[in-house]
Amino acid sequence: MSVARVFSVAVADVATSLRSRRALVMILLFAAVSAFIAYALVSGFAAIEREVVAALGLPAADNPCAVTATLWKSKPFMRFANGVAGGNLVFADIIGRHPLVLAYAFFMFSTVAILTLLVSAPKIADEIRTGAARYWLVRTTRGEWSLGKFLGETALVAVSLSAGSLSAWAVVAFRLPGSTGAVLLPDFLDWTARAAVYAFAWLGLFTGISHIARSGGKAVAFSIMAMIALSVWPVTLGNAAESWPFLSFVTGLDVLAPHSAMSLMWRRTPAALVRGVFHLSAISFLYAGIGAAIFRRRDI
Amino acid sequence: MIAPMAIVAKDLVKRYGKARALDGFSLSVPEGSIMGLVGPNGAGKTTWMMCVAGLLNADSGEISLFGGGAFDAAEHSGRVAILPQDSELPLEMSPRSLFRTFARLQGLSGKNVDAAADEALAAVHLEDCATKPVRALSHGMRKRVMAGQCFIGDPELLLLDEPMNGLDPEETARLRSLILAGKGRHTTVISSHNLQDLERLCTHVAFADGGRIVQSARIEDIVADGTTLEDAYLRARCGQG
Repeated sequence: MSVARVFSVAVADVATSLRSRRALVMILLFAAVSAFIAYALVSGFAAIEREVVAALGLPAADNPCAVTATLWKSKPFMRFANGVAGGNLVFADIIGRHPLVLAYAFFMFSTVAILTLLVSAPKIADEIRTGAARYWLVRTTRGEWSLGKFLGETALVAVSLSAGSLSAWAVVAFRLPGSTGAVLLPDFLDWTARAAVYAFAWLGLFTGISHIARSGGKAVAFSIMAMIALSVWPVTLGNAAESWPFLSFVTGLDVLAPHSAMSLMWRRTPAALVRGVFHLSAISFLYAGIGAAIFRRRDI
Repeated sequence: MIAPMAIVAKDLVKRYGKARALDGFSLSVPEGSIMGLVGPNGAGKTTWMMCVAGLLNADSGEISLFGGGAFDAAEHSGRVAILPQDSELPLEMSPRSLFRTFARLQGLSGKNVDAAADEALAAVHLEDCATKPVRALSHGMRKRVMAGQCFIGDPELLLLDEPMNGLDPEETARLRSLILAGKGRHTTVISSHNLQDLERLCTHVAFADGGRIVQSARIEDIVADGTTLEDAYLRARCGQG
């Protein structure tokens, strides 16, 4: 395998995606939605705090999120919340973090799969359908082309997430007084990186499907079906194993769903994070690899 | 002395469902020749070219390129170029960026990349719209981009499927000159319905019908004593019928 050829395919993929209106619209849309969510979160917290302050008969403070952050980070509240959560490891790890950042992280984890689907699912299938892939495939091996495309799409999703994260942070920095918001940049970037790893697992699935589907539209449809199937998969497997005990072994298959490793990405301990990164990367390569293996034998 | 063969295809069979696009298609193309591939629609010309370029998998039969095995991009990258019929170019790329990328994929580096891209742009007369996205080009211009990419890096084997379709007379003449300039250096296979063009360009010609080759010979053995390629083709078709 030629690294130079893989790199050339990846660079061309990113360049064409950024020049195409669809990818650019997706990036701008995600940035706009992120900014709106950040604005809504700050406003939401501020509204709650205004009610609390009014109920307590205290003077109103022009400092949104200050009360929530103080409460969330206070030791007595942390002890109380930990007790209620029953020693839940994820809860114990996130309790000290800024609530605004956590709320934004929840938004990121909830939407990255859709974002990844819209950005990457139809592209490879469309290039195969229109015949554009043929010009490349007499110059690169199919493995090099697939890997280059995969890396290009990974970069594109990373750019989209970063754009969303930076726009959200900019809104928070603007809305919170002084440097309160500005200092949250490392936290925003930290959660963006975690969401990017989670998105990577979905990207493997969607690019795998895109290698097999006959058109971009079908790739999107199959990707949506796969996403729904994998989302209900753990519950379905659990119910199946409960109803038919001889199927109990299938509950182990829930490791194939990206959701199964999401809780690890919320953790703070390096060991848990490394496990999560490894798990999600393995899922990504598995699905992308299956798609690429079928593509190797496919007529173009 | 027998010339070495650039392509040897033996008994290729390719099915699409119940239809047999190739039904024992056998054809040998000598190195340095310009082979014209003629036949009615559905004769298997495009399918054969795609099999030779490794884009389609034949169900059975053998293909040998340059005395070795079938197409393998790891081995043949930069040695084989194809102008596929009805294949869209990457619409967002400009001809220059496309040619530069393809030059890099073919192993060129540094200044050679720019030189190869500029040479290909000049060859198909696209210098003026080199930086426009393919999306903004007319059908004829896109066809010239398709033709130009074939000549990047001076590949040994050119597979041209209906290369003159959609070109104006001036550009058709330019492409003819380009193909003729590579005579003896490249091996070129041209699939076309324009028999006059083929008669002017080709050193060899093969008639295909029903997924197989019905006649293959040097052009001077077919076109002689006032017989045109069209006469010979029609005779071969009548002989078939």
